[in-house]
Amino acid sequence: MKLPCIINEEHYRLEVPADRRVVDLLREDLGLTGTKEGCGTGECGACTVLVDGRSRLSCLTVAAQIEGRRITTIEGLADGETLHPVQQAFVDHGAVQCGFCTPGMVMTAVDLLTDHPEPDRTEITHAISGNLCRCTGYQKIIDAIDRARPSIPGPATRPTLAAADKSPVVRPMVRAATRSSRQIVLPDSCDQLWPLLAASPGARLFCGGTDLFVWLRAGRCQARLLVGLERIDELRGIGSDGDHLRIGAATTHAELLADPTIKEHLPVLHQAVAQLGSPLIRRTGTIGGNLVTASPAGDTLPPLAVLEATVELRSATANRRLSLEEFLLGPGRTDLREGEIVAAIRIPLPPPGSLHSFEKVGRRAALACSIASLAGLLDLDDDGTIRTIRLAWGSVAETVLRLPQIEAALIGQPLDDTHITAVLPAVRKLVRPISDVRAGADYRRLVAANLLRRLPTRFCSDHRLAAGRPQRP
Amino acid sequence: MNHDRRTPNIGEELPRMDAYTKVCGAEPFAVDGYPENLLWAGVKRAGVPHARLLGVAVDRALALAGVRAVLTAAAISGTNRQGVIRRDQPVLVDDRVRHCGDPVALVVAEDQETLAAAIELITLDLEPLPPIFEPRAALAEDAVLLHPEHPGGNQLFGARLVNGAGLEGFAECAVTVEATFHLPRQAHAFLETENGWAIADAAGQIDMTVSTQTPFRDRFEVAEALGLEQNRIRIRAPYCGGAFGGKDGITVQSLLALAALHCPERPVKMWWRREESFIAGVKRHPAHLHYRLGADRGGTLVALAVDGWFDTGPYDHLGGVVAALALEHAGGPYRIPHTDLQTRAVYTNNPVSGAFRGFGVPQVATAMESMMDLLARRLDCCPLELRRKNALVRGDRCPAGVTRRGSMGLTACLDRLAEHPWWSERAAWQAAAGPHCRRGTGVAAVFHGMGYGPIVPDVATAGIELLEDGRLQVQVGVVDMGQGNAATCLQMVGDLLNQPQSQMTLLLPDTARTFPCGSSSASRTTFTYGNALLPAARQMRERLLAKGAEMLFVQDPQEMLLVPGAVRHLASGRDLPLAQLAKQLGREERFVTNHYRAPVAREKSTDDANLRLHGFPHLIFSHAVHLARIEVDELTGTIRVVDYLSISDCGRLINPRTFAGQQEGAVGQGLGYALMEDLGVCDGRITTPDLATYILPTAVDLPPMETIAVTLPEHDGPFGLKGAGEIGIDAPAAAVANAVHDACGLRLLRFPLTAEQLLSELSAMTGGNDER
Repeated sequence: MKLPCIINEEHYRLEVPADRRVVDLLREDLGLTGTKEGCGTGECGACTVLVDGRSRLSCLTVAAQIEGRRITTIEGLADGETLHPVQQAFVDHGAVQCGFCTPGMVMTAVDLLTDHPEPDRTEITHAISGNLCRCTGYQKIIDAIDRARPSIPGPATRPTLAAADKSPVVRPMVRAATRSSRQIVLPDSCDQLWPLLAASPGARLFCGGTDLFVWLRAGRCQARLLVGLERIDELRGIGSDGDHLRIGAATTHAELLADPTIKEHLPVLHQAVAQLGSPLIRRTGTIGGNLVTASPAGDTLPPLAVLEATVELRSATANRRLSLEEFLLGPGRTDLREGEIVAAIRIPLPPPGSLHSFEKVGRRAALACSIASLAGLLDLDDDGTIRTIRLAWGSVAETVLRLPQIEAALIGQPLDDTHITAVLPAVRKLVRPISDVRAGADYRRLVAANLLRRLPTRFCSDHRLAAGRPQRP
Repeated sequence: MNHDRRTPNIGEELPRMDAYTKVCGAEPFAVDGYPENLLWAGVKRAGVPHARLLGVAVDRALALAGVRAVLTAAAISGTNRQGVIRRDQPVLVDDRVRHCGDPVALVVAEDQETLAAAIELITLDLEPLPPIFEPRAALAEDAVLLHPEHPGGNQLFGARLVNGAGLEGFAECAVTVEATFHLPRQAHAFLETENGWAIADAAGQIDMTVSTQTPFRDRFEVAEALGLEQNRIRIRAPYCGGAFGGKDGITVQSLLALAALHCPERPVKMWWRREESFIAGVKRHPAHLHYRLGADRGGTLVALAVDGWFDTGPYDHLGGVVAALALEHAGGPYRIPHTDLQTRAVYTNNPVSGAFRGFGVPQVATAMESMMDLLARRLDCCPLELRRKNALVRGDRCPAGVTRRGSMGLTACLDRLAEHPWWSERAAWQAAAGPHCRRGTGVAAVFHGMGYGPIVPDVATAGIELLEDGRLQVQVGVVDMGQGNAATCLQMVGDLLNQPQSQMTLLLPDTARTFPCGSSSASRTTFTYGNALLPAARQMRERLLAKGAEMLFVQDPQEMLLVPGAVRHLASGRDLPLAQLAKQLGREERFVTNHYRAPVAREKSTDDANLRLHGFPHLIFSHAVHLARIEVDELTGTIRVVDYLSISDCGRLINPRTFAGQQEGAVGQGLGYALMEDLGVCDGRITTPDLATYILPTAVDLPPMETIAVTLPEHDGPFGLKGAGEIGIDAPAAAVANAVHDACGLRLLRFPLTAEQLLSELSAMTGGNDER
């Protein structure tokens, strides 16, 4: 494809295969080797660049996705001889050891400071949790970002395609892959999408690509045509629709997290998205993508289940609406039909005063695949008894799991450790976990039940003592 | 800019020179080489743990358009064997596959897609052999031998040290504790995976740039394995994007040289993907360690028995040396009169184990420091007091029977820890835990020997050149894999010669341009190279002053002073710029060099010549005491490290910030080892093949850290320093395990300390609360 884009403020028209990874395009084709690759699967963050001013993993981004975009790499950050304030802070505070994570780490920090010019240490720590460093133990990196406090220029805005076309440097690729075996198309509207799908049965849809591009690398996807939905504006955004919220399927996790309505009205979803993947994955991954991947560990699924969200499906000829339970059929399996896409998720607003809780257990505190998770949505009566309760577990069954028996057993009971503890054996019986490389089934069963015990301590300060520590032997 | 004029001082927190280029993405790592006309090389790997190789079918791969070469062992005219102590690892398998990652065929192609396709087309004719996955099974009488020619059979290395009355010492003990520990296989997971590129000219001269800690030894190994003269090979070693021991020895080098020789005048690049790095690279040795420790009623240590098994995988790499260092450190930094210590490194068909920061010490330190806490509990005494009471001081014999000389700062570290509020206020902190939460504080005391031991020469040759433009070029003959030794060299030279960074340049290791030096390893890099460099710098200073005096017609060079960029005659105030001085001198006059060989222990503490060859004993030791404060979530078993303190005795510091960064990084890696890192292997195959399943600590997983140095001078060290690169990783696993014990009353013996394991033990201990 002929790819117009801006890289480090230079206009390009690149002759490049649509499926060329941006990290390869930068390093091999353009000689911008400051961008590093450490894993190829979005797990280390070394390849982070800015796309239209926001951090993005260049190993999980393909050429077609940067058409018309403005890319900033580490080479484009300094102003001539003057280092960017974040770069200078990294030098001054000992944040650089081997230096291989440094470019990605700096780009992530620049992105953070764009939104939060004065982050606290906790915010910094979470913001860099998708960038692995093996040398520093992170402390000096956090110090550096903490002290960078620059007068950061606002994020570079997205250039119009016309601007990118103006006086481009036409650069035929020197070493671009000779055989472009795969086509990638990103339609701008559904009107463009439908004929495309009609003409290409077997095309693989994606929306963000944080899963799909990992599978491509592993040879787990053979489709010749990939169609990305991320540029279709009508599939993006969060809107209120009376007593429902409607979230476009192409809305990214980062957009969900930044949205004040979600934070205020759907804390259970907000909490889950805050723990999903890493900040870098959240910049790219979408809620629709998370749904269609249908992983038993998908972090948005338990909150959507307790919120009793419905899924809006659309095709060239028809629309339909399914409950989450109807949509999700099993691990990696949904009721999505050929030629059909997820357009949006509709969520009824829970009554004000509802208690929201999401907790996830992984093998580490960030960038973790869930071993077990629990979303809870409760209403309490004035006397503290449970009026309504919905519970949904992740990673303990083929798909997200609601247990109506448990909910029924808890309704009308006080929310305290004694009554919660009484239902735990039943929870352990009803969940259906498997053993895998992350944890055994027995542990998942135990934790799935134990997570319930957090609810009283979270919501009832009176119950904190009752839930206290058992005596030591 | 200020930095251009300012000259560095020893002991100052200066920015590292390499930080400027690294933070701009301008520093070229080996992996950043993409010369014109590049070919890509890759490897067909065996995929089975143990088999006889009957044949390799390469025709279909060769026939693929864009494939330039497909090579098997038949293409190798040398020994086809690599290794450091024992050369037992083939470049390409010739008769026998010994682990899944063994390379069988080498492919060179025009691009990566063709390369991958060609590798897929190669088929292997394999006759399975019974695999061995457990060290004890490997030593069974009827076990298949992995290397039938090895006199020790499947035991690569084994040694035993008995001191005092040995096991009979337990008769004198009032109290004895006993336990068996299991330590996991840890991956280095440096972010820059193994890679390099090479080009051979028409005459067969090979020029290679590679991510390595050991360019000079690599050259020797490649030459021998491929049957080449050493002088046909040039190896350049830029900064590594992390290494930690995983690039100590051959990774891609021999394969690259072979590929380049078969595709002359075309640069050839090899870059292992993360998954290939896990399959083919080395790991920290998994270990099973049985410990028995006894003391008298008053808490004086009396006897120790250790039986340690290290799974070394199918090749030596440095497995024997690792087991020997573990043996030397097995008893911790304590006085124990009666000891019986034994370690073994055993061949198996698991992935290759080898050098990894700490080098056998993290395993034994985890066990020994857990034992110290177990003993303190049994004696009902304070674990810190138990350590203070038994800490080695100068003149003591260590548990391995060697007399301690050199600086001994362990007691100073323990005293500092005792005063720290995280220790003195631990009871109140513990009592303030919230719901479903238990808090605990744990300590661990460790020591770490520096250098290669008595037999293998620990040497370095430094060089400094006054360039024609008046700048000083400082050779750094030992690789900087991230620890900062290159910048530290500049800081030392800059201080001695009173020159700012802008007046100096670095020459990184290059077998054609720098002198042969030992490896970047064994906590010896800055100690040994610094000792070579300082006299060179002093020599350069005298030379510049003398030549400057001559040129200014000054009788006495004592009247001269080096100032930034010039020599100054103090009486007259006249300056002679170095650039001007340089023009008057021939190259020989502008160049100084100095050779250094590190001192070794002279005490004959063992008759075991093989053990001495493997590095026993060491002479100079660093010490450290660490403290971890942790919280255990009773509902999930998750351990969160809340705060971390390290107090270290590594001699004087050249750059305290570099030192602190190194300790913090080592602690981070050590906490990964303690809590989550475990390269899963089942039937010789890796079950955690990528960074989604083999997990490292993220920023959120690591605590705020406080780093303290007790800066006692080591008289043999340059400016009083001693080794600091490894010791920080020895203690964290034990400190965390001891903190868990403090929090929950549970002693965990299997590492990493996963939430799964802890919750299961907690449930068993409390009767499951609501369980039954």
